[in-house]
Amino acid sequence: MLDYFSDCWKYLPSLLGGLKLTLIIAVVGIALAIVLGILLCAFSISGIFVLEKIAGIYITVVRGIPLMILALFMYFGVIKNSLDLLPSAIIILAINASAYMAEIFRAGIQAIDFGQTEAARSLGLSYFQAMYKIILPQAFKIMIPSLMNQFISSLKDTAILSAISVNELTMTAKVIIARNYNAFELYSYAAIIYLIVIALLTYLSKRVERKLSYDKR
Amino acid sequence: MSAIIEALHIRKLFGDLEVLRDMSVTVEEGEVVCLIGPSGSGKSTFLRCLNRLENIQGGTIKVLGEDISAIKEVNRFRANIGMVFQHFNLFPNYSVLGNMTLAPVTLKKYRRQEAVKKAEELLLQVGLSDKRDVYPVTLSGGQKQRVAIARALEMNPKIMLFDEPTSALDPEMVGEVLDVMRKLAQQGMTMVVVTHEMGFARDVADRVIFMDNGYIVEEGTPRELFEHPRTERCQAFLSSVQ
Amino acid sequence: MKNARKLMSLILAPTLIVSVLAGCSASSSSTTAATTTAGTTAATTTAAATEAVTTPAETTAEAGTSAEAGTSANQAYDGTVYKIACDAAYAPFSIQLEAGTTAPGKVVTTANDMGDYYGIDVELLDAIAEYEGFQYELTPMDFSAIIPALISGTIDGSIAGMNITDERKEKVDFSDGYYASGSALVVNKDNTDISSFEDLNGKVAACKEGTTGMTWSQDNADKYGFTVTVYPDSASMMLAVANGQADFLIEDYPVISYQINIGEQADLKVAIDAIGEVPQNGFAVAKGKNATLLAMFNEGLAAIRENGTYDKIIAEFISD
Repeated sequence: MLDYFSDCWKYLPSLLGGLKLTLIIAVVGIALAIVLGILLCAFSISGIFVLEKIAGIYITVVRGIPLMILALFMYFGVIKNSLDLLPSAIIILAINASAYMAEIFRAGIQAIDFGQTEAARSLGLSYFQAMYKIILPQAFKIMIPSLMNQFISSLKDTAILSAISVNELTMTAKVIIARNYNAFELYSYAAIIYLIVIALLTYLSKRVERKLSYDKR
Repeated sequence: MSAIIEALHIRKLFGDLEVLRDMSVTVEEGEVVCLIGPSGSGKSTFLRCLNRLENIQGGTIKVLGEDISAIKEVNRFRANIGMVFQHFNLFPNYSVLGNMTLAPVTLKKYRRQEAVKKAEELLLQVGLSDKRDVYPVTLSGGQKQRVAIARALEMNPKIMLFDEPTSALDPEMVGEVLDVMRKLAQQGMTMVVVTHEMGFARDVADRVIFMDNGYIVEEGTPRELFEHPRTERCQAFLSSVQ
Repeated sequence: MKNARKLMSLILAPTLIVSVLAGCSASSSSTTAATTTAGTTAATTTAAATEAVTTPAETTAEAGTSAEAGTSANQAYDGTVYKIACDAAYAPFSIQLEAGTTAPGKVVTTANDMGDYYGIDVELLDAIAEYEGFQYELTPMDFSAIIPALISGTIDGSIAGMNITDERKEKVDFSDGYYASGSALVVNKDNTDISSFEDLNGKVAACKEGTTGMTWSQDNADKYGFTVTVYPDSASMMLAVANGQADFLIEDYPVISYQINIGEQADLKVAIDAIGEVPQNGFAVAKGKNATLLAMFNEGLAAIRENGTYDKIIAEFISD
C-alpha cells in the first residue's frame, strides 16, 4: 500500500497546478457572486414589484438548473468564443452561486427583528444608514456559516467545470488517470487536497465568526 | 401652552381591517398623555402614526406645527421625536455607549466627543453609568429599557413616545423604568405613553385616553377617568385590570 | 413437472427460431416480445435459452446459430453471463437508439441484444457472442471509466473503440485487433490555416479524456507549441471546435468521417487524415483474467471475418 502512494510527489506539481485554478475560479467566482447576490437580494427586498419578480425568476431558474447544464449551456450556447475559458468558468460559477448568495443574504436580513429597523428609523437614521450600520452587521454574523458553506460547495463545484475543459484539480487528476489508470491513487490525492483546503477554510470561518461575536463580551 | 401634536380624524387601515376610525387627539407642550385600553384597540398603532412609522389613510396629523404627511425629510423630522419600544430594540452589535451615540454621530447632530459627554450625563440620570461600555446582551430587561430611554433622549427630542415600555419586563423591574419616566415627566417632557400601568397613568398623566376598537371611548384627567368613568366599556375595562 | 418443462421448451424453441429469423429483418421488437424488457433481462432470457438447448426440442434452434460443434475456445465456457462494456456514446462504434426507433443498419439481432444500442462494436460483439454461444450483458460506460472498471472487476470485458497501445497493455489484455482505427486531425470547416503539424503553433487542441488523441496531444503539445484542453465527451470536444473555442481536435478517423457523413458535424472537416501509425482497436479484459472470454472473442472474430458477417457489419457504418 505504501508503495502504491510512492508516486505521490511525481503528480503533486500538476495537482497543485489544478488546485491553483480551482482556487482562482472559486475565489473570484464567489467574490463576483457576492456582488451579484447583494444586487439580487436588494431587488428581492426592494418592495418594487418588477425588481422583485426579476430577482425571483433569476433565483428560481438558476437554482433549478444543475451546474453541469448551466456550464454547458453558457459555454457552448451563449458565451461561445466571445470569452476565454477562465473568465467563462468564473462567470458560470458566479451565476450559479449568486442565486444561493441572494437567498442567504435575504434570509440573513429577514432574520433580524424588524424592531431593529424601527428603532433605527425612529432615531432619524435613513433606510440605508439603518441597513448599513444596524441590520447588515448583524445579518452578516448570522450569514457567515451559510456563506462559508456556499463557498465550500462552490469550491467543490468547480470540479463540474471540467465538463467545459477547465483543467482544475479534479480534471487534472482525471487526465493523469486517463493515462496511467491509477484511479484510486490519484483520486485519493485529489480528495486529500480538497479536504485540506476545506478544513483550512472551515477553521478560518470559525475564527472570523468568533471574532465578530458580541454575545460573549 | 400650545398644541405640539394635533391629530384630527385619523383613519388607519391594515388591508381591509380598520384599526383607527376617526381618532382626534391634541397634545399640549409639556403634557403627559396616557393611552389605555384593551389589546388590539389601536393604541400602539396610533402612537406609531405620530412619527410616521405607519402611514395614515385619512385625517391629518400636525406635529410641531407641520403636517407630517407633507414632510419630505422624514428622517430629520423623526429625530425630534424619541420613541421607546416594548421590546427595547437595542442594537446588539453596539455597546451601550455605541447605541446612544450612533444616531447623533451618524446624523452629524453632535461631534463624537459631545455625543459621548451627553451620553454619560444621560446614563448618570438613568443610573447606569457603570454600564457605559457593556453590550446589551449583558443587561437585564429593566436596564435595557433605561438605556433605550437614554438613547432616545440623546437626540434631544421635543416629544417622547412610549409604546408599552414595561410590558415585556419582569414585575420587579417595572419600577425602575417608571421612575425614570416619572423624572422625565417632571422635567417637562411632552410624553405620549401607551401603557397597562394604571398606577403610573393615575400618578403621572395629565390626561388619560381610553381607546377601544379604534375609537376614543372616553378621555379626561386621571381623576375623572379612573374614579368616575362615564362609559360602561371603560368601567368594565378598569375593573378587569384592577 | 417433467411435462411442464417439456411444454415450456416447446413454446420457447419456436420463439428462439423466430427471433433468429427476425434478425434478418432488423427488428428488435420481436425479440423483446419474448424477453419482456431489454437489457436487464439478458440473464433470464439466456437461462430460458439454455434450458431449451438441453431439451430434445433444441435441434431446430441449433441449426440457426449457436454452439457450433466447430468452436473449441468455448469448451471452457461455464455459462457465465459476462458484463461487457461499450462506450456510452461513440458513433459509429456504439450508438444509442433514439427512443421508439429501430437500428437503421442492424445486421444481427439475438436475445443477447441490448436492444437500445447499435454500432460496429455492439454488433461485432453480438455476432461473435452468437457464434461462440456465450452470454453477456452490455454495459455502456463513460470511456474513461472502462479500464478502471476492468481492473476493479466491475466488468469482465470491453469493446469500446479502444486503440491497442503499449501503455494500455500494461493494464489490460487485448484481443486481436478487430478494426484499424487511425486518428484524424479535425478543424472547423472555415479553418484554412491548419494543414500540417507545423501550423499548430499557438493553437488550442480539444481532446476527449482518456483517448489516444489526448495522449498524442499531450505528448506533442510542446513540440508543436499548442495548448491542450480536455473534455469529458466527444460531443463537447466537437462543439468546442465548431464554436471556435478550440482550433482543432484529434478523433478516430471512422468516428469523425461517420459523423461528417451523416451531417451531424457539418461545421467540421478533416485537415490531416492520419496521425502517426494507424492503431488497431481491441477487445479488452483485465490483465491475466477472463482468458476464456478473450479466446472466444478471437476465435469468433476470425470466424465472422471468414463468413462475411464482419464485412456486412462494417459496411453498414463506414462507406469508403
